[in-house]
Amino acid sequence: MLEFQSVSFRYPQDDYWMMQNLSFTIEDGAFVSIIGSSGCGKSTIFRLIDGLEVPSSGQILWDGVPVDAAHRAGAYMPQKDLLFPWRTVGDNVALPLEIRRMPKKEQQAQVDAMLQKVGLLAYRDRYPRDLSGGMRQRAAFARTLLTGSSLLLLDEPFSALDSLTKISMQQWLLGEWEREKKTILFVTHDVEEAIFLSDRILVVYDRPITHLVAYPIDLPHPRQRSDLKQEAIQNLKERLIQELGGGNRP
Amino acid sequence: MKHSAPAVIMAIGIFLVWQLVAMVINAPYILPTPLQILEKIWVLKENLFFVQLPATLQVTGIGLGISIVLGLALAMAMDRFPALERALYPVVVATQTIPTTAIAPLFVLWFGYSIWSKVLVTILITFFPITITVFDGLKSTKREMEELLTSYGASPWDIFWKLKLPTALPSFFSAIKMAIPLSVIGAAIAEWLGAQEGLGYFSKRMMTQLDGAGVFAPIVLLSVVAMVAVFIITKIEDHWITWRKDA
Repeated sequence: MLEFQSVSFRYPQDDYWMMQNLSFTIEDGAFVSIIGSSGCGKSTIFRLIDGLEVPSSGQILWDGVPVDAAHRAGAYMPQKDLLFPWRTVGDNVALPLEIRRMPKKEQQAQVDAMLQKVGLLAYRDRYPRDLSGGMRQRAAFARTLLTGSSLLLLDEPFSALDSLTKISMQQWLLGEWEREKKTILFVTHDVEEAIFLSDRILVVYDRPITHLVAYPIDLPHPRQRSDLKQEAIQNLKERLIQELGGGNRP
Repeated sequence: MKHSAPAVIMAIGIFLVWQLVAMVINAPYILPTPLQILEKIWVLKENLFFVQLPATLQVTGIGLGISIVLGLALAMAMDRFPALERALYPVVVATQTIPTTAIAPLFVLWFGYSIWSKVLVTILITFFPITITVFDGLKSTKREMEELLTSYGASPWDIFWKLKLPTALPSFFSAIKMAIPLSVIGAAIAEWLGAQEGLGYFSKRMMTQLDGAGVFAPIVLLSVVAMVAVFIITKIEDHWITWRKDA
Protein backbone atom coordinates (compact mmCIF):
# COMPACT_ATOMS: atom_id res chain seq x y z
CA MET A 1 0.00 0.00 0.00
CA LEU A 2 1.17 3.50 -0.84
CA GLU A 3 0.55 6.23 1.72
CA PHE A 4 1.14 9.96 1.55
CA GLN A 5 1.15 11.30 5.11
CA SER A 6 0.87 15.10 5.31
CA VAL A 7 3.40 15.59 2.53
CA SER A 8 4.47 19.15 1.70
CA PHE A 9 6.85 19.98 -1.10
CA ARG A 10 8.31 23.00 -2.83
CA TYR A 11 10.98 23.06 -5.57
CA PRO A 12 14.02 25.02 -4.30
CA GLN A 13 13.81 27.51 -7.19
CA ASP A 14 10.07 28.19 -6.70
CA ASP A 15 8.51 30.60 -4.25
CA TYR A 16 5.27 28.62 -4.08
CA TRP A 17 4.36 25.22 -2.67
CA MET A 18 3.48 22.39 -5.04
CA MET A 19 1.64 20.55 -2.25
CA GLN A 20 0.88 21.12 1.39
CA ASN A 21 -0.12 18.51 3.94
CA LEU A 22 -1.25 16.13 1.22
CA SER A 23 -2.49 12.76 2.43
CA PHE A 24 -3.93 9.91 0.40
CA THR A 25 -3.70 6.14 0.12
CA ILE A 26 -3.48 3.73 -2.81
CA GLU A 27 -4.43 0.12 -2.13
CA ASP A 28 -2.44 -2.80 -3.51
CA GLY A 29 -3.49 -3.93 -6.97
CA ALA A 30 -5.53 -0.79 -7.69
CA PHE A 31 -5.54 1.13 -10.95
CA VAL A 32 -5.78 4.78 -9.96
CA SER A 33 -5.58 7.77 -12.31
CA ILE A 34 -4.62 11.28 -11.31
CA ILE A 35 -6.02 14.03 -13.49
CA GLY A 36 -5.63 17.78 -13.32
CA SER A 37 -4.53 20.77 -15.34
CA SER A 38 -0.98 21.20 -16.67
CA GLY A 39 1.61 22.21 -14.09
CA CYS A 40 -0.61 21.39 -11.13
CA GLY A 41 1.96 18.99 -9.69
CA LYS A 42 0.78 15.57 -10.87
CA SER A 43 4.23 14.55 -12.09
CA THR A 44 5.77 15.91 -8.90
CA ILE A 45 3.75 13.32 -6.99
CA PHE A 46 5.53 10.65 -9.08
CA ARG A 47 8.95 12.21 -8.55
CA LEU A 48 8.37 12.11 -4.81
CA ILE A 49 7.22 8.48 -4.87
CA ASP A 50 10.26 7.59 -6.95
CA GLY A 51 12.69 9.29 -4.57
CA LEU A 52 13.82 11.81 -7.22
CA GLU A 53 12.56 14.59 -4.93
CA VAL A 54 12.43 14.67 -1.15
CA PRO A 55 9.35 15.97 0.71
CA SER A 56 9.91 19.19 2.65
CA SER A 57 7.82 17.64 5.40
CA GLY A 58 5.66 14.59 5.95
CA GLN A 59 6.47 11.15 4.62
CA ILE A 60 5.59 8.68 1.91
CA LEU A 61 5.29 5.03 2.88
CA TRP A 62 5.36 2.05 0.56
CA ASP A 63 4.27 -1.12 2.35
CA GLY A 64 4.99 0.70 5.60
CA VAL A 65 8.58 1.63 4.67
CA PRO A 66 9.48 5.31 4.14
CA VAL A 67 10.42 6.13 0.53
CA ASP A 68 13.80 7.74 -0.13
CA ALA A 69 16.65 7.54 -2.67
CA ALA A 70 17.68 4.16 -1.25
CA HIS A 71 14.13 2.78 -1.11
CA ARG A 72 12.32 3.82 -4.26
CA ALA A 73 8.70 2.79 -4.33
CA GLY A 74 7.68 2.60 -7.95
CA ALA A 75 8.81 1.94 -11.48
CA TYR A 76 8.52 5.17 -13.39
CA MET A 77 7.43 5.30 -17.02
CA PRO A 78 7.59 8.85 -18.36
CA GLN A 79 5.58 10.47 -21.12
CA LYS A 80 8.38 10.00 -23.65
CA ASP A 81 9.43 6.41 -24.15
CA LEU A 82 13.09 7.35 -23.48
CA LEU A 83 14.39 4.30 -25.29
CA PHE A 84 18.13 4.66 -25.81
CA PRO A 85 18.67 4.94 -29.58
CA TRP A 86 22.06 3.19 -29.43
CA ARG A 87 20.59 0.07 -27.80
CA THR A 88 18.51 -2.61 -29.45
CA VAL A 89 14.97 -3.11 -28.18
CA GLY A 90 16.16 -6.15 -26.19
CA ASP A 91 19.05 -4.21 -24.63
CA ASN A 92 16.74 -1.32 -23.77
CA VAL A 93 14.29 -3.60 -22.04
CA ALA A 94 17.17 -5.29 -20.18
CA LEU A 95 18.37 -2.01 -18.59
CA PRO A 96 16.77 -2.47 -15.14
CA LEU A 97 18.13 -6.03 -15.00
CA GLU A 98 21.64 -4.90 -15.99
CA ILE A 99 21.58 -2.30 -13.24
CA ARG A 100 20.59 -5.01 -10.76
CA ARG A 101 23.67 -6.97 -11.98
CA MET A 102 21.55 -9.95 -12.98
CA PRO A 103 23.57 -12.67 -14.78
CA LYS A 104 23.46 -12.27 -18.58
CA LYS A 105 21.72 -15.59 -19.24
CA GLU A 106 18.96 -14.84 -16.77
CA GLN A 107 18.57 -11.34 -18.24
CA GLN A 108 18.19 -12.81 -21.69
CA ALA A 109 15.51 -15.24 -20.55
CA GLN A 110 13.54 -12.53 -18.74
CA VAL A 111 13.81 -10.09 -21.62
CA ASP A 112 12.64 -12.69 -24.13
CA ALA A 113 9.71 -13.66 -21.93
CA MET A 114 8.74 -10.02 -21.43
CA LEU A 115 9.06 -9.15 -25.11
CA GLN A 116 6.94 -12.17 -25.93
CA LYS A 117 4.34 -10.89 -23.49
CA VAL A 118 4.21 -7.42 -25.08
CA GLY A 119 4.31 -8.82 -28.61
CA LEU A 120 7.77 -7.51 -29.51
CA LEU A 121 9.94 -10.62 -29.45
CA ALA A 122 10.46 -10.39 -33.22
CA TYR A 123 11.91 -6.91 -32.68
CA ARG A 124 14.41 -7.83 -29.95
CA ASP A 125 17.44 -7.13 -32.12
CA ARG A 126 16.03 -4.11 -33.88
CA TYR A 127 16.64 -0.51 -32.88
CA PRO A 128 13.99 1.88 -31.50
CA ARG A 129 13.96 3.76 -34.80
CA ASP A 130 12.45 0.64 -36.41
CA LEU A 131 9.41 0.71 -34.11
CA SER A 132 6.13 2.60 -34.41
CA GLY A 133 4.98 4.94 -31.60
CA GLY A 134 2.77 2.27 -30.03
CA MET A 135 5.49 -0.36 -30.22
CA ARG A 136 7.97 1.99 -28.58
CA GLN A 137 5.54 2.58 -25.72
CA ARG A 138 5.10 -1.18 -25.32
CA ALA A 139 8.88 -1.60 -25.22
CA ALA A 140 9.09 1.15 -22.58
CA PHE A 141 6.31 -0.57 -20.63
CA ALA A 142 8.17 -3.90 -20.83
CA ARG A 143 11.27 -2.15 -19.46
CA THR A 144 9.17 -0.68 -16.64
CA LEU A 145 7.73 -4.10 -15.76
CA LEU A 146 11.24 -5.60 -15.59
CA THR A 147 12.13 -3.29 -12.72
CA GLY A 148 10.25 -5.88 -10.69
CA SER A 149 8.36 -3.18 -8.81
CA SER A 150 4.76 -3.93 -7.95
CA LEU A 151 3.89 -0.21 -8.21
CA LEU A 152 3.93 1.27 -11.72
CA LEU A 153 3.98 5.04 -12.12
CA LEU A 154 2.79 5.82 -15.62
CA ASP A 155 3.12 9.50 -16.49
CA GLU A 156 0.93 10.28 -19.51
CA PRO A 157 2.38 7.34 -21.43
CA PHE A 158 -0.04 7.57 -24.33
CA SER A 159 -0.35 11.33 -24.72
CA ALA A 160 1.93 11.50 -27.76
CA LEU A 161 0.16 8.72 -29.66
CA ASP A 162 -2.45 9.14 -32.38
CA SER A 163 -6.02 8.44 -31.27
CA LEU A 164 -6.33 4.95 -32.81
CA THR A 165 -3.01 3.75 -31.37
CA LYS A 166 -3.95 5.33 -28.06
CA ILE A 167 -7.21 3.37 -27.91
CA SER A 168 -5.48 0.08 -28.70
CA MET A 169 -2.74 0.81 -26.14
CA GLN A 170 -5.33 1.56 -23.46
CA GLN A 171 -7.03 -1.75 -24.13
CA TRP A 172 -3.68 -3.49 -24.10
CA LEU A 173 -2.61 -1.85 -20.82
CA LEU A 174 -5.86 -2.82 -19.16
CA GLY A 175 -5.29 -6.43 -20.25
CA GLU A 176 -1.74 -6.33 -18.87
CA TRP A 177 -2.95 -4.91 -15.57
CA GLU A 178 -5.72 -7.51 -15.26
CA ARG A 179 -3.11 -10.21 -15.84
CA GLU A 180 -0.20 -8.79 -13.77
CA LYS A 181 -2.28 -7.38 -10.92
CA LYS A 182 0.25 -4.68 -10.18
CA THR A 183 -0.66 -1.37 -8.58
CA ILE A 184 -0.83 1.31 -11.25
CA LEU A 185 -0.81 5.05 -10.68
CA PHE A 186 -1.58 6.74 -13.97
CA VAL A 187 -1.27 10.44 -14.73
CA THR A 188 -3.31 11.78 -17.62
CA HIS A 189 -5.07 14.89 -18.96
CA ASP A 190 -7.61 12.74 -20.75
CA VAL A 191 -10.78 12.30 -18.69
CA GLU A 192 -12.13 9.51 -20.89
CA GLU A 193 -8.83 7.63 -20.68
CA ALA A 194 -8.87 7.95 -16.89
CA ILE A 195 -12.43 6.65 -16.67
CA PHE A 196 -11.81 3.74 -19.02
CA LEU A 197 -8.69 2.54 -17.26
CA SER A 198 -9.19 3.24 -13.57
CA ASP A 199 -10.90 1.88 -10.51
CA ARG A 200 -10.66 5.31 -9.00
CA ILE A 201 -9.84 8.79 -10.26
CA LEU A 202 -8.07 11.33 -8.08
CA VAL A 203 -8.61 14.88 -9.25
CA VAL A 204 -6.20 17.74 -8.58
CA TYR A 205 -8.05 21.03 -8.58
CA ASP A 206 -5.65 23.55 -7.13
CA ARG A 207 -2.06 24.31 -6.45
CA PRO A 208 -0.71 23.85 -3.85
CA ILE A 209 -2.34 20.42 -3.76
CA THR A 210 -3.86 20.01 -0.33
CA HIS A 211 -6.20 17.15 -1.15
CA LEU A 212 -7.23 14.91 -4.01
CA VAL A 213 -10.91 14.46 -4.77
CA ALA A 214 -11.69 10.78 -5.37
CA TYR A 215 -14.23 9.46 -7.88
CA PRO A 216 -14.78 5.69 -7.90
CA ILE A 217 -15.42 4.18 -11.35
CA ASP A 218 -18.16 1.66 -11.15
CA LEU A 219 -17.36 -0.49 -14.15
CA PRO A 220 -16.68 -4.23 -14.12
CA HIS A 221 -13.58 -5.94 -15.54
CA PRO A 222 -12.77 -6.87 -18.24
CA ARG A 223 -13.89 -3.59 -19.72
CA GLN A 224 -14.99 -2.71 -23.21
CA ARG A 225 -15.01 0.71 -24.81
CA SER A 226 -18.78 0.40 -25.16
CA ASP A 227 -18.95 0.59 -21.34
CA LEU A 228 -18.09 4.26 -21.68
CA LYS A 229 -21.51 4.86 -23.25
CA GLN A 230 -23.34 4.11 -20.00
CA GLU A 231 -25.33 7.09 -18.82
CA ALA A 232 -23.70 7.28 -15.39
CA ILE A 233 -20.24 7.20 -16.96
CA GLN A 234 -21.16 9.84 -19.52
CA ASN A 235 -22.46 12.05 -16.72
CA LEU A 236 -19.27 11.58 -14.72
CA LYS A 237 -17.18 12.44 -17.76
CA GLU A 238 -19.13 15.64 -18.41
CA ARG A 239 -18.95 16.59 -14.76
CA LEU A 240 -15.19 16.11 -14.58
CA ILE A 241 -14.60 18.03 -17.80
CA GLN A 242 -16.70 20.89 -16.50
CA GLU A 243 -14.98 20.93 -13.13
CA LEU A 244 -11.49 20.74 -14.57
CA GLY A 245 -12.37 23.43 -17.07
CA GLY A 246 -12.87 25.81 -14.17
CA GLY A 247 -16.61 25.47 -13.88
CA ASN A 248 -18.34 23.96 -10.89
CA ARG A 249 -15.86 22.66 -8.37
CA PRO A 250 -16.90 20.35 -5.56
CA MET B 1 30.59 8.55 -55.51
CA LYS B 2 27.61 10.75 -56.37
CA HIS B 3 27.84 12.19 -52.85
CA SER B 4 31.49 13.28 -53.25
CA ALA B 5 31.12 14.54 -56.83
CA PRO B 6 30.62 18.23 -55.87
CA ALA B 7 33.80 18.17 -53.76
CA VAL B 8 35.81 16.56 -56.57
CA ILE B 9 34.49 19.07 -59.11
CA MET B 10 35.29 21.95 -56.75
CA ALA B 11 38.83 20.66 -56.11
CA ILE B 12 39.50 20.22 -59.85
CA GLY B 13 38.18 23.75 -60.43
CA ILE B 14 40.49 25.24 -57.78
CA PHE B 15 43.52 23.41 -59.17
CA LEU B 16 42.70 24.56 -62.71
CA VAL B 17 42.43 28.19 -61.61
CA TRP B 18 45.62 27.85 -59.59
CA GLN B 19 47.43 26.30 -62.58
CA LEU B 20 46.29 29.11 -64.86
CA VAL B 21 47.11 31.94 -62.43
CA ALA B 22 50.55 30.46 -61.67
CA MET B 23 51.26 30.08 -65.38
CA VAL B 24 50.29 33.70 -65.98
CA ILE B 25 52.43 34.99 -63.07
CA ASN B 26 55.24 32.72 -64.19
CA ALA B 27 57.30 33.04 -60.98
CA PRO B 28 57.63 29.51 -59.54
CA TYR B 29 59.59 30.75 -56.49
CA ILE B 30 56.48 32.73 -55.47
CA LEU B 31 53.60 30.62 -56.79
CA PRO B 32 54.46 27.25 -58.32
CA THR B 33 51.81 25.46 -60.38
CA PRO B 34 50.13 22.33 -58.94
CA LEU B 35 51.93 20.29 -61.61
CA GLN B 36 55.32 21.70 -60.54
CA ILE B 37 54.50 20.76 -56.91
CA LEU B 38 53.56 17.22 -57.91
CA GLU B 39 56.76 16.98 -59.91
CA LYS B 40 58.75 18.16 -56.87
CA ILE B 41 57.04 15.56 -54.65
CA TRP B 42 57.99 12.89 -57.19
CA VAL B 43 61.62 14.05 -57.38
CA LEU B 44 61.98 14.25 -53.57
CA LYS B 45 59.79 11.24 -52.83
CA GLU B 46 62.38 9.24 -50.91
CA ASN B 47 63.34 12.09 -48.60
CA LEU B 48 59.76 13.28 -48.16
CA PHE B 49 58.09 9.90 -47.64
CA PHE B 50 60.77 7.99 -45.76
CA VAL B 51 62.51 10.70 -43.68
CA GLN B 52 60.41 13.84 -43.22
CA LEU B 53 56.87 12.37 -43.22
CA PRO B 54 57.59 9.65 -40.59
CA ALA B 55 59.21 12.29 -38.33
CA THR B 56 56.11 14.51 -38.53
CA LEU B 57 53.74 11.58 -38.14
CA GLN B 58 55.58 10.51 -35.00
CA VAL B 59 55.14 13.96 -33.44
CA THR B 60 51.51 14.13 -34.57
CA GLY B 61 50.67 10.64 -33.35
CA ILE B 62 52.27 10.99 -29.93
CA GLY B 63 50.88 14.51 -29.41
CA LEU B 64 47.37 13.56 -30.51
CA GLY B 65 47.44 10.37 -28.44
CA ILE B 66 48.43 12.23 -25.28
CA SER B 67 45.84 14.94 -26.00
CA ILE B 68 43.08 12.35 -26.42
CA VAL B 69 43.94 10.60 -23.14
CA LEU B 70 44.31 13.87 -21.22
CA GLY B 71 41.30 15.51 -22.85
CA LEU B 72 39.01 12.55 -22.18
CA ALA B 73 40.20 12.21 -18.59
CA LEU B 74 39.73 15.91 -17.91
CA ALA B 75 36.32 16.07 -19.63
CA MET B 76 35.09 13.09 -17.60
CA ALA B 77 36.48 14.48 -14.35
CA MET B 78 34.90 17.90 -14.96
CA ASP B 79 31.58 16.26 -15.77
CA ARG B 80 31.68 14.12 -12.63
CA PHE B 81 32.90 16.83 -10.23
CA PRO B 82 31.34 20.28 -10.81
CA ALA B 83 33.88 21.89 -8.44
CA LEU B 84 36.66 20.63 -10.70
CA GLU B 85 34.83 22.06 -13.70
CA ARG B 86 34.64 25.48 -12.04
CA ALA B 87 38.36 25.31 -11.19
CA LEU B 88 39.73 23.93 -14.46
CA TYR B 89 37.46 25.17 -17.23
CA PRO B 90 38.90 28.72 -17.20
CA VAL B 91 42.44 27.28 -17.17
CA VAL B 92 41.69 25.10 -20.20
CA VAL B 93 40.25 28.14 -22.01
CA ALA B 94 43.31 30.21 -20.99
CA THR B 95 45.64 27.72 -22.70
CA GLN B 96 44.07 28.78 -25.98
CA THR B 97 44.93 32.41 -25.49
CA ILE B 98 48.64 31.59 -25.66
CA PRO B 99 49.92 32.23 -29.20
CA THR B 100 51.48 28.93 -30.27
CA THR B 101 54.15 30.54 -32.43
CA ALA B 102 55.26 32.62 -29.43
CA ILE B 103 55.51 29.76 -26.98
CA ALA B 104 56.97 27.12 -29.30
CA PRO B 105 60.53 28.58 -29.17
CA LEU B 106 60.28 28.39 -25.38
CA PHE B 107 59.63 24.67 -25.61
CA VAL B 108 62.72 24.35 -27.82
CA LEU B 109 64.67 26.12 -25.06
CA TRP B 110 63.32 23.71 -22.46
CA PHE B 111 63.45 20.46 -24.41
CA GLY B 112 66.00 21.23 -27.13
CA TYR B 113 65.50 19.77 -30.60
CA SER B 114 64.12 16.53 -29.14
CA ILE B 115 60.72 15.27 -30.18
CA TRP B 116 59.11 16.54 -26.95
CA SER B 117 59.25 20.24 -27.78
CA LYS B 118 57.17 19.49 -30.87
CA VAL B 119 54.87 17.06 -29.08
CA LEU B 120 54.15 19.72 -26.48
CA VAL B 121 53.09 22.24 -29.14
CA THR B 122 50.82 19.59 -30.68
CA ILE B 123 49.27 18.84 -27.30
CA LEU B 124 48.77 22.54 -26.59
CA ILE B 125 46.93 23.03 -29.86
CA THR B 126 44.73 19.88 -29.74
CA PHE B 127 44.03 19.48 -26.04
CA PHE B 128 41.43 22.26 -25.93
CA PRO B 129 39.02 21.12 -28.67
CA ILE B 130 39.10 17.53 -27.42
CA THR B 131 38.43 18.47 -23.79
CA ILE B 132 35.71 21.01 -24.47
CA THR B 133 33.89 19.05 -27.18
CA VAL B 134 33.83 15.82 -25.18
CA PHE B 135 32.84 17.71 -22.03
CA ASP B 136 29.95 19.36 -23.89
CA GLY B 137 28.98 15.93 -25.24
CA LEU B 138 28.86 14.48 -21.73
CA LYS B 139 26.83 17.48 -20.56
CA SER B 140 24.32 17.03 -23.38
CA THR B 141 22.92 13.90 -21.72
CA LYS B 142 19.15 14.16 -21.40
CA ARG B 143 18.16 14.78 -17.80
CA GLU B 144 15.04 12.60 -18.10
CA MET B 145 17.16 9.66 -19.25
CA GLU B 146 19.52 10.16 -16.32
CA GLU B 147 16.57 10.28 -13.94
CA LEU B 148 15.10 7.16 -15.48
CA LEU B 149 18.32 5.27 -14.77
CA THR B 150 18.49 6.78 -11.28
CA SER B 151 14.96 5.53 -10.64
CA TYR B 152 16.17 2.04 -11.59
CA GLY B 153 18.83 2.36 -8.88
CA ALA B 154 21.75 3.11 -11.23
CA SER B 155 25.09 4.16 -9.73
CA PRO B 156 27.04 7.15 -11.14
CA TRP B 157 29.24 4.60 -12.93
CA ASP B 158 26.16 2.93 -14.52
CA ILE B 159 24.94 6.34 -15.65
CA PHE B 160 28.33 7.16 -17.14
CA TRP B 161 28.79 3.83 -18.88
CA LYS B 162 25.24 3.22 -20.12
CA LEU B 163 24.15 6.78 -20.86
CA LYS B 164 26.81 9.49 -20.83
CA LEU B 165 29.43 7.66 -22.83
CA PRO B 166 27.13 6.68 -25.72
CA THR B 167 25.63 10.20 -25.69
CA ALA B 168 29.10 11.76 -25.91
CA LEU B 169 30.43 9.39 -28.57
CA PRO B 170 29.42 11.60 -31.55
CA SER B 171 31.10 14.56 -29.82
CA PHE B 172 34.21 12.46 -29.27
CA PHE B 173 34.43 11.70 -32.99
CA SER B 174 33.86 15.38 -33.83
CA ALA B 175 36.67 16.27 -31.44
CA ILE B 176 39.04 13.80 -33.09
CA LYS B 177 38.13 15.08 -36.55
CA MET B 178 38.83 18.63 -35.39
CA ALA B 179 42.03 17.68 -33.61
CA ILE B 180 43.65 15.77 -36.48
CA PRO B 181 44.22 18.77 -38.78
CA LEU B 182 45.18 20.86 -35.75
CA SER B 183 47.74 18.27 -34.66
CA VAL B 184 49.31 18.32 -38.11
CA ILE B 185 49.40 22.14 -38.01
CA GLY B 186 50.88 22.05 -34.49
CA ALA B 187 53.61 19.61 -35.49
CA ALA B 188 54.47 21.61 -38.61
CA ILE B 189 54.63 24.92 -36.67
CA ALA B 190 56.88 23.33 -34.05
CA GLU B 191 59.16 21.85 -36.70
CA TRP B 192 59.26 25.18 -38.52
CA LEU B 193 60.44 26.90 -35.34
CA GLY B 194 63.04 24.39 -34.22
CA ALA B 195 63.72 20.93 -35.58
CA GLN B 196 66.21 18.84 -37.48
CA GLU B 197 63.70 16.81 -39.47
CA GLY B 198 60.03 16.71 -40.37
CA LEU B 199 57.85 18.25 -43.06
CA GLY B 200 57.72 21.64 -41.30
CA TYR B 201 61.48 21.73 -41.05
CA PHE B 202 61.78 20.65 -44.72
CA SER B 203 59.40 23.38 -45.84
CA LYS B 204 61.47 26.02 -44.00
CA ARG B 205 64.66 24.68 -45.56
CA MET B 206 63.15 24.97 -49.04
CA MET B 207 62.07 28.54 -48.20
CA THR B 208 65.68 29.56 -47.62
CA GLN B 209 66.49 28.16 -51.07
CA LEU B 210 63.63 30.13 -52.67
CA ASP B 211 62.22 26.82 -53.91
CA GLY B 212 58.48 27.56 -54.12
CA ALA B 213 57.51 24.03 -55.18
CA GLY B 214 59.72 22.64 -52.41
CA VAL B 215 57.88 24.77 -49.84
CA PHE B 216 54.50 23.63 -51.12
CA ALA B 217 55.37 19.92 -51.45
CA PRO B 218 55.39 19.13 -47.70
CA ILE B 219 52.29 21.29 -47.21
CA VAL B 220 50.44 19.20 -49.78
CA LEU B 221 51.61 16.03 -48.06
CA LEU B 222 50.43 17.32 -44.66
CA SER B 223 47.02 18.16 -46.11
CA VAL B 224 46.67 14.75 -47.72
CA VAL B 225 47.69 12.99 -44.48
CA ALA B 226 45.12 15.02 -42.47
CA MET B 227 42.37 14.41 -45.04
CA VAL B 228 43.04 10.66 -45.16
CA ALA B 229 43.05 10.46 -41.35
CA VAL B 230 39.78 12.41 -41.09
CA PHE B 231 38.26 10.18 -43.78
CA ILE B 232 39.23 7.04 -41.84
CA ILE B 233 37.78 8.46 -38.59
CA THR B 234 34.57 9.40 -40.42
CA LYS B 235 34.24 5.84 -41.71
CA ILE B 236 34.78 4.41 -38.20
CA GLU B 237 32.23 6.91 -36.86
CA ASP B 238 29.65 5.93 -39.50
CA HIS B 239 30.19 2.28 -38.61
CA TRP B 240 29.83 2.82 -34.85
CA ILE B 241 27.23 5.52 -34.63
CA THR B 242 24.31 4.21 -36.57
CA TRP B 243 21.66 5.77 -34.34
CA ARG B 244 22.52 9.44 -34.92
CA LYS B 245 19.73 10.10 -37.40
CA ASP B 246 17.01 9.39 -34.81
CA ALA B 247 18.89 10.50 -31.69
